[in-house]
Amino acid sequence: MRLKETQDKNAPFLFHHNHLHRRSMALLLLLGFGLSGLVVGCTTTPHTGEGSGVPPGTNAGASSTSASAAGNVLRYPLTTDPTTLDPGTVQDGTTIDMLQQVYEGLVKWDEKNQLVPNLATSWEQDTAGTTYTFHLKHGVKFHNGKEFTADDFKYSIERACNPATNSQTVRDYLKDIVGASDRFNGKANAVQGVKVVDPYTVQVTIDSFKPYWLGNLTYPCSYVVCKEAIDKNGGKFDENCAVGTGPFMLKPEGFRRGYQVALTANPDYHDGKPKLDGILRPILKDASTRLSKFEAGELDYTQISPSDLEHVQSDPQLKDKVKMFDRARVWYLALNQDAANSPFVKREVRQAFAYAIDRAAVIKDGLHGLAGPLNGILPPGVLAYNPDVKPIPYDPARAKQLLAQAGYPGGKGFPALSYAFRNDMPEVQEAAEVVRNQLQTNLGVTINLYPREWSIYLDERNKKILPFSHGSWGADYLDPQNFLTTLLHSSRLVNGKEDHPENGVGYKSPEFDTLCDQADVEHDPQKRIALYQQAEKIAIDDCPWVPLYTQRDVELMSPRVQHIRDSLFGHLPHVTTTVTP
Amino acid sequence: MLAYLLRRLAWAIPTLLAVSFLVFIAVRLAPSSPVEAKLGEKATPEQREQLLHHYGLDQPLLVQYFRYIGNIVLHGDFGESYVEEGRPVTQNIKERFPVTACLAITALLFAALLGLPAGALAAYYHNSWFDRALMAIVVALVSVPSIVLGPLLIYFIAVQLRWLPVSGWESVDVTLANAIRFTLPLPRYLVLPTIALGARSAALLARFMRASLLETLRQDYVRTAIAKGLTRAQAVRRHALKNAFLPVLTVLGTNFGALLTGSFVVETMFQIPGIGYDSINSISTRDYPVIQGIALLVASIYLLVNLGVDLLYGVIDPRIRQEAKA
Repeated sequence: MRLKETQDKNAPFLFHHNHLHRRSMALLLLLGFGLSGLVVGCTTTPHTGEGSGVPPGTNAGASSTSASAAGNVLRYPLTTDPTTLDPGTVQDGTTIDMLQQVYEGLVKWDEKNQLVPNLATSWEQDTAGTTYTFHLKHGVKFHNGKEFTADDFKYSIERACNPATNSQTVRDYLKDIVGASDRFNGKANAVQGVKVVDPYTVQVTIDSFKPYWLGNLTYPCSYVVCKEAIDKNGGKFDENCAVGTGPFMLKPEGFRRGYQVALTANPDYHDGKPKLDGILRPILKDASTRLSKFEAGELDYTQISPSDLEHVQSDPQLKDKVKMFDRARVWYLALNQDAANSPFVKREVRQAFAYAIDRAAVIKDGLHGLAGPLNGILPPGVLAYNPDVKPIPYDPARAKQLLAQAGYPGGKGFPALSYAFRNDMPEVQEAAEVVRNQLQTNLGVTINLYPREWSIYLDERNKKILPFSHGSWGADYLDPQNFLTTLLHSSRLVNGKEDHPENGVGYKSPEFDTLCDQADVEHDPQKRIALYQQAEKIAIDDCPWVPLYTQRDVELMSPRVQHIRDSLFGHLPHVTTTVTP
Repeated sequence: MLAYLLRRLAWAIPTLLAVSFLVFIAVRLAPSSPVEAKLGEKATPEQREQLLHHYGLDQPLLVQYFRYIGNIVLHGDFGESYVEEGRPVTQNIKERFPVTACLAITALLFAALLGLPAGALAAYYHNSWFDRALMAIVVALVSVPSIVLGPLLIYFIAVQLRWLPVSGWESVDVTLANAIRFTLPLPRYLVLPTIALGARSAALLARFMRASLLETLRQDYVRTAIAKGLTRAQAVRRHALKNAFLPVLTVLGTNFGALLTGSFVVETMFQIPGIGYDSINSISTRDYPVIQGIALLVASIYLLVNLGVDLLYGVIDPRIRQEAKA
């Protein structure tokens, strides 16, 4: 019986006609449907391209012809998915960089890192310094054609502060406005401190004199959104109502979730039509993919990690395309006194760690020289920055002595420390390895590297279980208040009395607090600077942190990109940027 | 046959329940929670608690699980994404699964069209230079995972030669007879991922096909056929190939499942917006409903593919049909 079937004279070759094999064929054909369809498909409607609201030539680019196919479109990657399209809630730098092309506020940063007018043409303060009167620009239009007026600003602030918006950032950047906290705590339906005087004048009153306050208005939570567009979308904020007044427009068809975002130039932009036709932001999370795409001519610029520098500099095609940009971001070793059984409650231990670290070597060996020096708490560019500030010097002998004084001679009896840092930045890992080696060699202590996913890092920081970590802080505005008070004042302790736990190192110094409190409300700019500099000196000596370096972004930029404007916060909106074919 | 099918489908239910439970627990055992990923570094403890409550994550695990399963069984509701509030998990899958399926199908086709004939020829020309060369290539390809092959392809084909794009997924809408509409990827975006994903399967299939055909060629009935006057080629074509293909079919089926899940790496590498890429993202943002939804989908596919292979087995081999009846 068994042979009968196979010895049939008509037994087929694998793909010959026989009822069994017809079924196999059918299966394969079914599987092959997709492939065969491809041939048919090529002649039909493309998903991207003209008529879809996406700038022409934004078809993510392929082959050697991609540069010309990209036309007048600037292509650079988003390194993560946009976390939101709502300026009211956004808090990550990658998404902010995208949204600042679409939305704007009353004021903005310029290339000299100065606050300059934007949707407000001018403003004045009352004598008490608590009420700002903003005069708004006439004839500014939203992307849907509606004119921007003072009511839109008031609506935008009140929407951002609405508890239903669930914004974390308003608690930082808008809390000083009278009535804002009542609004975000659900106790009021409006923000009392924002008053529409006439369609082109708006008054904002803050709770007390704060010389640094205006800088808060550069943060996206006070950017202007369009009520009509949001209402039309049923109150939900997504790509269907991403309507701002900015130089580029985000149309629903340009937003491809998880894949790319295409922005189109706003022809009616109040500061003149941008030189570009559009911006294309493919979402590329992998650093090597970004580098490959740049090398293949599919991107116009991309940030690279310092660890890629060697490869880039050895390549004659790439080495001339390296550009560097200083940022107002500091990196430091956080010595958390609040963690359980933390050895850092002893000042000598903190100082011993500071004396044991050779910052120059961390920058040279860990970061391939791609970082700026940081001697104190304040980075260059911030008011009160003192280039002559005296850091704790590198002195291994003194370090050993201090550790012995603290009860750990030669590191004996010192608990093994887990050294936490976020795991998505290879350069941070490299810098951390250098720091660890220095500490182990100079102090005889045991340090274990503890790379953490960002969300896990936050979770563990909030649970106060990270005694030792590689932290960073980027300026929100260039005022010392944003570093000294925000990061080290005892009111900002994790779970402390203020809303926000930026003081993640458990630093408590009454003397430091008093100086910051005075400086924060000081009218005389010179006195104010002096007070902050005194406070900084205390913090350097107390060592709640060990300052390490300031960030320097490294980018590969094609020569076809010109007239890009930069600030200490990052590239400014691409109003002047051009690309040559 | 129908009873067999129903029995198999009934068995799928406890399997899927087990998968859903394990995945449900596993994602919650991972450190951190959706709250940290969602709120970022500025959140207050109150806000974190509020959000945990909003997602129901402050409930006991079993309560959460039964609520989840209850919603699926009673309302067909797989939940909504935490990251993009209001977006149903099913919507995500509807948009992304066709992309993954398309890639897996082309990779399987690539593997089958390359691997099966090559394996058969190697067996036919057993011990020849062709056989040895092919087996060397097979060993090389089996040992190189897609995570290595992908970057190599990108470097040589896309970066150096610039023949194909480094990554991406552009597609076109096709309308047939003004009625049937579907979306297909542009071939130039499909080539490298297909090779990266399918090469290992092609090598495995070639090896299986060769071994299976060699085994079959040693059977008495093939020798009898040749003794009765058939040429070796005729004997292979008419008798051996079909029987040799039978064990390979199982491999082909399980390979399809493997290709669907293997595409997780390839999708991430080539920036292809399928369920693999989505699930990697969802894991990093702890988007529990999306991870669970995709895990259930992949488990269901495995079950269906295995069932399909078993049924097809019966179609090709009458003995199995008999057993199923018995």
